[in-house]
Amino acid sequence: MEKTFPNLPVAVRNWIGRQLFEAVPNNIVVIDRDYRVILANSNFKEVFGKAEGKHCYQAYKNRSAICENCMAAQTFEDGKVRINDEAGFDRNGRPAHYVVHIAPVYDETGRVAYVIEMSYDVTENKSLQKEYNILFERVPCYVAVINRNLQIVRANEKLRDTFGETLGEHCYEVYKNRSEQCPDCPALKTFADGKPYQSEQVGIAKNGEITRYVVSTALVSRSGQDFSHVVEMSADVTALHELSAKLLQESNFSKLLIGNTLDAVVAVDASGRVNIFNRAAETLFQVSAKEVIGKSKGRRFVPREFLDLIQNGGNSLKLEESMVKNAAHEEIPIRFSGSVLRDGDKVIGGAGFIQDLRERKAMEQELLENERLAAVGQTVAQLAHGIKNILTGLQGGMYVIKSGLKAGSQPRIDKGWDMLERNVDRITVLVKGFLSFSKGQVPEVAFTNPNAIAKEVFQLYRDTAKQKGITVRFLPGKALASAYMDAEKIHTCLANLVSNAIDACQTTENQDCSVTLDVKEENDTIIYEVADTGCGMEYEIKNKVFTTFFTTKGLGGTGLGLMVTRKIIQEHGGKITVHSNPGKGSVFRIELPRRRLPQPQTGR
Amino acid sequence: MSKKNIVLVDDEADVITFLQTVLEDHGYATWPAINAAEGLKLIKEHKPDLVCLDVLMPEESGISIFQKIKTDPDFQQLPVIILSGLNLSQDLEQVQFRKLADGTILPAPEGILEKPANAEQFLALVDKILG
Repeated sequence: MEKTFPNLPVAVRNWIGRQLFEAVPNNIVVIDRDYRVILANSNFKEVFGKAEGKHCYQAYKNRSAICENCMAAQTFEDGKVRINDEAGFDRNGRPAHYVVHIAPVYDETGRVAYVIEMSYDVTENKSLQKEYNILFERVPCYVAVINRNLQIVRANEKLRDTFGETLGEHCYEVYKNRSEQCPDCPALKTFADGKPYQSEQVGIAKNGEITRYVVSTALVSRSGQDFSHVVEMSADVTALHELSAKLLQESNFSKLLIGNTLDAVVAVDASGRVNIFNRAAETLFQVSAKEVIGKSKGRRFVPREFLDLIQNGGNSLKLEESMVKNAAHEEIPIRFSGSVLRDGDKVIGGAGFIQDLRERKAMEQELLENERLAAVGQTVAQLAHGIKNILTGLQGGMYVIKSGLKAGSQPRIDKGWDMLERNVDRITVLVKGFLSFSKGQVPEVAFTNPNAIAKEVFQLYRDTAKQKGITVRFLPGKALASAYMDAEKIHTCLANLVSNAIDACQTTENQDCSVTLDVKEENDTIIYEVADTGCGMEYEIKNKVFTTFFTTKGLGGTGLGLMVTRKIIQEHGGKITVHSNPGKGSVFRIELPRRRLPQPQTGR
Repeated sequence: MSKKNIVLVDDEADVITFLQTVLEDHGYATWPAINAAEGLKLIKEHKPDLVCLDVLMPEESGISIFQKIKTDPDFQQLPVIILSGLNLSQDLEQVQFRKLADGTILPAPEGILEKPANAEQFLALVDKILG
């Protein structure tokens, strides 16, 4: 040291000589030719423990004999400086990686008497590298390092698993089974301009399955100087592709379904603007989808209730009967079923299915007509039987009068006269009912107040009922607007119901039996309710009341009343229902939606 | 000579009145019933010379009464006239209403008359059976 630094101050020389030995952040040991540690600095001792007196192999590696290829041994031979990468164990037994510099120390005879080993710990670096390796190997995408010849020099586990052992092969062979490079090779582009590229590729896995992946390329330097390699990282998107293919298929299927369904499908967005309008909708409304989608408001095509439902964040709406207007302003009866569409919680619009009921209406009409004809046939048979009985009564009446005249008996004459009267009445009632049922005419409507008809019926029956000890009550609707109705026919219906109710009261044991005729309006529908506290009806009877010639009144009834009533109500676009409790009474309810009432015939 | 007794069963009062007047005017005694139960009771009580039955009645039909009469040893000789608005004569002749559950076929009723029947027709039939 005196020779090397002749001009250094003594203090510095001393510091270098003693303290540098301790201060350098390296482990330093001095080993003699017996590989025995004669001096170790405290850094060394911190890592490997107390070392002086031990053999180096003992100190570093806890071995009992000299290491194979011992670097120090070679330096003892040739005096060369060596650098080596070693692995050993620290004083706690944990693996330690260190890089060792081995330098000779010559004695006076020129022989290498000692070597100095200066090592620094690279354990941390090594583990980083290991982590990097694990990452490289285990990352769930294909990673390959390729050289300028497009040969794979490194491939990770997933790549090897999927495409097979690959080292040295060309990437296009490995990924795609090709014999030449791909026309759109991103790696070549990266080699050319150094920029990263990304593209989607289709490959063939070693099991022969089509594999889709998105590849990203980036330049890497392996030697630390030139950028001689490209790393390709590829994410497998096969599953994604399958999913999107499936989605596409499903979307095509829905499109096909919407396009070809016989129901009109109209969808609107949250603002009520039309965004789906299928072929059936074009036919129904007589406008083309082009004129409508994105342009028109949905209120032209779907019921207002549905748009309100979308606005108010409801769920679904079903209307058994509603009306829409086509481009020619014709009213079309429809059935509507709609659902509000949501994306998460947000309402994004609604889709409605609109079924054209015209054909069905026509069929219903036809069916009704057929039922009516069948009923007419049945009536003729029943009528004949009924008339035979009535005729017998008439003949009987005549005979009894004749017999009374012969015998000069006034009571007998009166009896015969009563028989005549009774049977003439019966035949009148029967024929009237039959006629009004067989007439299939359009109601002759006039602007009428719903209360007025009910009031007339009430006045007609009030007194006769009272004589029989039955109270009839009338509850007129408040502020009911007039409507187009066939007053005479509605009168017939209400009269039928009220007279039935009175009959029901007469056949009950209930005292204080009463009949209530109630008129009201709910949801733009005129409602008549006739309730009685009479005998009520069994289920079987209830199911038959509106069908042909059903009567529980023996020869007192024609069986036509409720059938006629139902027909009239249907002709007014309404319906009639019955709720009954045997022994407690019945409620007949007529519902006449205002918008379905017949319009007055014009130009006739 | 005592009057011949005739039981009349029909659910229609007017028919009963008619038949009663016809028969009484011509010297018969009548026992009217408006249903089957009442009719059967009268038959047992009065052992009539003739029974006149309507077919369609609410509780029990005239056919049922007819079968009861013709299967009862005490009454099987009792003549029966069936009087109905239904077109029955053919059916009755074709045994449909005379065939019992055990397969026995009863003899035809002594008289069948379709409504509407006039007084003369009815009386002629009664006279023929009882004469």
